[in-house]
Amino acid sequence: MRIRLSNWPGRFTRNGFKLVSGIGSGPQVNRKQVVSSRFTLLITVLLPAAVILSIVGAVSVGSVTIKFNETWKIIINHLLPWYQPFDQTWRTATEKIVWDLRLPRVLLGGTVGGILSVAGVAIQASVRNPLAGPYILGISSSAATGAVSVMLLGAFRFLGNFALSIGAFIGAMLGMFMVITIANVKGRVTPVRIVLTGVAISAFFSAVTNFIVHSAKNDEGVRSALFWMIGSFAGARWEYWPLPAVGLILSVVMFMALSRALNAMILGDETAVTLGVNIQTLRMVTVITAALITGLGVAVSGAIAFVGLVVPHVVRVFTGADHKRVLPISLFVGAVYLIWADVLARIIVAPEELSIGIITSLLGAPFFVYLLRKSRYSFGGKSS
Amino acid sequence: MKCTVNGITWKADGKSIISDIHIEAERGSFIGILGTNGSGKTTLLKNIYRVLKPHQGTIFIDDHNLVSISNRQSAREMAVVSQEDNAEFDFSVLEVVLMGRYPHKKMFESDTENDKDIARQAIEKVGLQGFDERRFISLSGGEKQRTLIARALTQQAELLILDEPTNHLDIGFKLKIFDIVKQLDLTIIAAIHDLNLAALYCDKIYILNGGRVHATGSPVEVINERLLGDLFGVKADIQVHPFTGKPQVYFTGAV
Repeated sequence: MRIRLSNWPGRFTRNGFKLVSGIGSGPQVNRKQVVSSRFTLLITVLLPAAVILSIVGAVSVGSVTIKFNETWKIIINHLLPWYQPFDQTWRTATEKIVWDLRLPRVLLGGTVGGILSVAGVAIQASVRNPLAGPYILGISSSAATGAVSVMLLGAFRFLGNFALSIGAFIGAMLGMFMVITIANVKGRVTPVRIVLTGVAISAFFSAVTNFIVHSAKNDEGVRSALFWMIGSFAGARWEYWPLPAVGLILSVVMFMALSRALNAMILGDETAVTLGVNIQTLRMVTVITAALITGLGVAVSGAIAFVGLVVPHVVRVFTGADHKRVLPISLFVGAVYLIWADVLARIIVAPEELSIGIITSLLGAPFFVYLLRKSRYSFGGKSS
Repeated sequence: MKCTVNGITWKADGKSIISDIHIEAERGSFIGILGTNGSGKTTLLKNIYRVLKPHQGTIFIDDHNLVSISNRQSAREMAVVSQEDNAEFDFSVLEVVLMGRYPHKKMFESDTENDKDIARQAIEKVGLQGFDERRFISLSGGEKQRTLIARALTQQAELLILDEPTNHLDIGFKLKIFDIVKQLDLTIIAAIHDLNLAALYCDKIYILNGGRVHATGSPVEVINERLLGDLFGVKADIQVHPFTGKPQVYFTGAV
């Protein structure tokens, strides 16, 4: 049994070549070219279009519904401030909701979705373990410690709006630094050591976080600390967006440049070395980059569960394990996924909000189980 | 391409696993490394293909000291088929074989038709034509091994290191794989368990025992009844085959 989407381009179903009808009899080269041009179309047109539509769609949905037609005009007017192609037919309040409140939140959601997915792909490759995710280095727990220190103990108060993010980011980096230092024995970092050290560091920081939360007198503060720990975009502001976005773009470019090396790495350390990969350097660079962008994401949204683990798996079912395909597709799929998950978080119990981590786990867990049962699949395909 | 191993020693926890090993692999020669389980064959090969760093001694490929060139550079000169088997990934056969082009590619460079031709020729050489798009994980043990051999050929290196390359293959493919690599005019260093196979293909054999070179020479020189009794604990009768002129071992029991 395998997953199939009947209208999916040939290459993206497993064993999917037969699905490309009418060209099966042609020479190999033509078939390959058709497939690679479909892939190019997918990542340069179709998926970016899906992301843009999702952004405009998600901005339109909410406690005040805004016409799709108005939403994109407002956005374009803002993007071209000197040109202003559309006459204002909407109320100024609408414009404020779109540009000041919802768009930064949606963009941040998409960016963090991309970050978690790309970091998930990178971490799974570097520790060669399908159970790994971006939080394997203890980042979620250590960032939470940083965040609750800010919220409940008042650390970094002088940083104003950025105190929480900076506290969380410092926590995340501290966790990563500890894992990498401890996992490094005589200049060698092995996948198993990274995973086990990450587990230990996670447990340690969780304990510290719990201690801070339990000894807090301030009920409101405890509530918002818990809310943060499950993840939310409720506090999104424009200022939070550029750094994670730039981090994401740079890391995607870098990982794409390393995609061959990442492929070699999941074949095994020995194989990678014999193919000419400098495996220790590659692993360090990959892990640190993934941790950095995850830290940037967690700093602005809390530790959203089950995105970085699930998205790469889902994508691999359709693309196979080649990182040249897995990385860009995960980026877009993760972005679209979190954008809509955040919409659900906003509307399900409106006017209250759910934490987005609840949505991603509630949706992600059953879907993941379904995938595991449905396809002959572990790290993108071991027969069971 | 000539490969010279100069007195290498490798230790685990202070204990020598191999010590003071010298090997000379002349250009185009087929060198067999034989020995019992645990005699250090794999450790020796891992030192040569840079997964382990020798504690003493040097390894030269032509006149490059291995420690002075990058992994990438050595991967262009030396290809490896090892025993590592990580089947938990979903690549097609062509994708796995194309990874052999890695040391020849720059960062953003994509695979050209030329790369694909090289890969397809290698796939054909190991008898896997038509398998391009098959998933690697769905292959049988022998097909996987042939895929990995095709990947090594795709590297277009002149030195080929083989660690028990044919242990999953039936006799037909065993002979076929050795025939293929032998006719490619490569320098080959191979750990081989099957004595008769080693005798048939190797120009020179090194017998390892307890991490040291126990005997060196042509198959006829080193494969003899006493050695088999001493090292492997087997009783054997050895005849020189009339057609091949190579020694043929007939086992008659354990000592």
